[in-house]
Amino acid sequence: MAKSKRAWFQGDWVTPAEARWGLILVLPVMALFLALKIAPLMYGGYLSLTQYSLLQPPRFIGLANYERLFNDARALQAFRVTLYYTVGTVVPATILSLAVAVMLDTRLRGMGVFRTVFYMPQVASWVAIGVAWLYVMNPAFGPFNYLLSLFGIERQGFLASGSQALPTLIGIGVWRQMGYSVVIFLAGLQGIPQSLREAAVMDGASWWRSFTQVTLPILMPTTMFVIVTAVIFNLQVFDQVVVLTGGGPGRATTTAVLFSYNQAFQSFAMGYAAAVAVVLFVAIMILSLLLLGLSGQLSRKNR
Amino acid sequence: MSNLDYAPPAIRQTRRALIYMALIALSGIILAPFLMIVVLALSSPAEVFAWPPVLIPDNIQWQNFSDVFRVTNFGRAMFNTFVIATVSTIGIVLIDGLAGYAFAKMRFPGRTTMFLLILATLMVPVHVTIIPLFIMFRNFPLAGGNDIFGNGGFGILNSYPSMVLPFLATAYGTYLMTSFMRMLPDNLVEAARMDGAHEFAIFWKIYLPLAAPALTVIAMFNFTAVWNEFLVPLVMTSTADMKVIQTALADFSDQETVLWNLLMAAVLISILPLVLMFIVGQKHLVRGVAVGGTKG
Repeated sequence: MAKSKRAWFQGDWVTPAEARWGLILVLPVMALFLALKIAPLMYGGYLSLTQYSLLQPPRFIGLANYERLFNDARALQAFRVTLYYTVGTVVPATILSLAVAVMLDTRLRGMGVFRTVFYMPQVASWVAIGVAWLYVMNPAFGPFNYLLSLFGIERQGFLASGSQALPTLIGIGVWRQMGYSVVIFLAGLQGIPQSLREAAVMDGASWWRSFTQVTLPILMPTTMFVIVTAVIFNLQVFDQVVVLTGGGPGRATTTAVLFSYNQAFQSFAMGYAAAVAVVLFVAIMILSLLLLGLSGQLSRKNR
Repeated sequence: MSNLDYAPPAIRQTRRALIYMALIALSGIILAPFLMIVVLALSSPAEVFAWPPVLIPDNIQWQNFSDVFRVTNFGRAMFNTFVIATVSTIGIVLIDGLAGYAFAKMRFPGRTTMFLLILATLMVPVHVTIIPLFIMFRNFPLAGGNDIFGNGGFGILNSYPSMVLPFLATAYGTYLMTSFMRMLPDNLVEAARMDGAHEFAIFWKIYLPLAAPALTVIAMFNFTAVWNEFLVPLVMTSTADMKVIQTALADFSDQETVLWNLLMAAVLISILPLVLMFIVGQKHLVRGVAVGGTKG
C-alpha cells in the first residue's frame, strides 16, 4: 500500500483501517463530551453575558451580570459562606483523617471493620444522612441537646440559630469528608516501603520524628491530592445546605451554588445565575492551580 | 507505624489500647446518626418526640416500612431511581470501555488532543453545566410539545433521558478505563489482527472482558453516584411521577410536620442496596478510590 494512503500518527504510519476504527470507537465518547460538557460550558459562558428569564429570548448585556455580582451584598455573602465552609471543613477533616489513617495502618486486628465504618458516611446520600442529622440536632427534641443537658448545658439552636448554623454544617461536613480522605491517606501510607520507616527507627529516631521526617514528606503528594479534591468538592456545597438549613436562618448558610440555584429557579434570572456559576468555576480553577503549585514547590524543597 | 513493634511489650500494649479506644470513640460518632436512622425507623410517632430520646422502641413498628409505600409514592421513586442508575451505568461502562480501548490501543489522528480535551473537563463541575443543560433540555427540538426550533413546550425535561444524559460524560471513568487498558498487553491486538479478527470484535471479545475489574469499579461508582444524586433530578424534573428517591424523601414532611419514623424507614430502605453493594464490592471500590490518590 502506498504511504500516502496511510494516516500519520506520532512518527509512525498507521493503516487506514486502524485509523478509521480508532476514530469510530472514540466517536460516541467525543460526541457525548461535546454535547454534555463542552457545549454547556460555552453556552453557560454566553448566558452569563445575557439577561434571560426563559420567557423571552436571551438579551446580550455584556458584563452587566458580573458588575452586578461584585456589587451584590447577598452574592458576596454567599461566596464568603462558601469559603468559610470549605476552609472550616477541609482543614480539620484532613488532619483528623491523617490521624485516623495512621491508626488504621497499624495492622492491628479489626482494622478492616473500622475502615468500613469510616467510609459509611460516603455510601449514603447527603439527603439521607442530612435528615438523620436534622433529627439529631433538632433544637426541641434532638438527642444531641439531650446529651448536652446531661452535662448541664442548656438547649442550643444549632441549625436554627443564625450564629450556630454554619459551624454545625461544618461539623457535619467534616464528619462526612473523613470517609473519603481516610481511604486515600490509608492507601498512601500502605504504599510507603516498610524498610524506609524501619531504617529511621534503627537509627534511633523516635516514632514522632520518623513520622514527621520520613512518612509525612513521602505522603506529600497524597496529602495534596486529598486537600485539592476536598477543596473542589466542598466549594460546590449544595445538597447538605438544602436539606439541613435551606440556606437559612436568613441567609446565614446560603452558599454560592445555592445562591445560583435560587437565582435560576426562583427568580428566573438565568443569566445572573450563570454568571455566579462561572465566577465559582474560575475561583475553583485558580485555587486548585495555586494548591498544585504550592505542592510542587514543597516537594522540590524536600528533595 | 509497624515500628511501634520495636517498643517494649508494656508500652506496645498501652499504645494498642489507646489506638483501639480512640478508634472506638470516633466510630461511635460516625455511627451515631446511622443508629438514629434505625431506631426512628422502628419507632412509633410518639417515641420520636420522647424526652429523653428513646433508644430501644417499646414495640418495634415493622409496619413503618410498608407505610412508607402507602403514605407516599415511594415505590415509584425507587423504580425511577433504579431505572436511571441502571441505564446510566450500562451506558457508561460501554462508552468508557470503547473510549479507553481506543485511546490506549488504537492509533489514529487527533488521539492525544481528544484525550486531553476529555481530561480537561475533569475540572468542570456540575454546577456550571446544570443551568445551560436545563435550558438545552427544555429547548430540545420536537420533544415534549416543542416545535422544530425548540419552542413552546418543555423538551426532554421530566423524562428519564434528562436525568441519565448528564452522567454519561464523566472524564474520571474515561481516564480510569484508559489507564487500565494501557496496562493490558498490546500483542493480543496484533495476534488477533493476524487471525483476521474484526477491529470491533477485538475490543468486544478480548479487551472488554479483560477490563472487567476496572469496569466493576466504574459501574459501582456511577451506580452509587446516580442513586444518591440530588441536584440533577431537582433541576430536571418537577412532576410527581418523575421523582427519584432523593427528591421523594421531602414528601415525608410539609411546612408543619415531619413524619420522622416513616422518613427514616424510607432512608433505611434507600441506603440498604448501596450498603449491600459496598460490602460485597468493598475491595474493588476502595482500590478505585485509592487509584487517584496514589498515582498523582
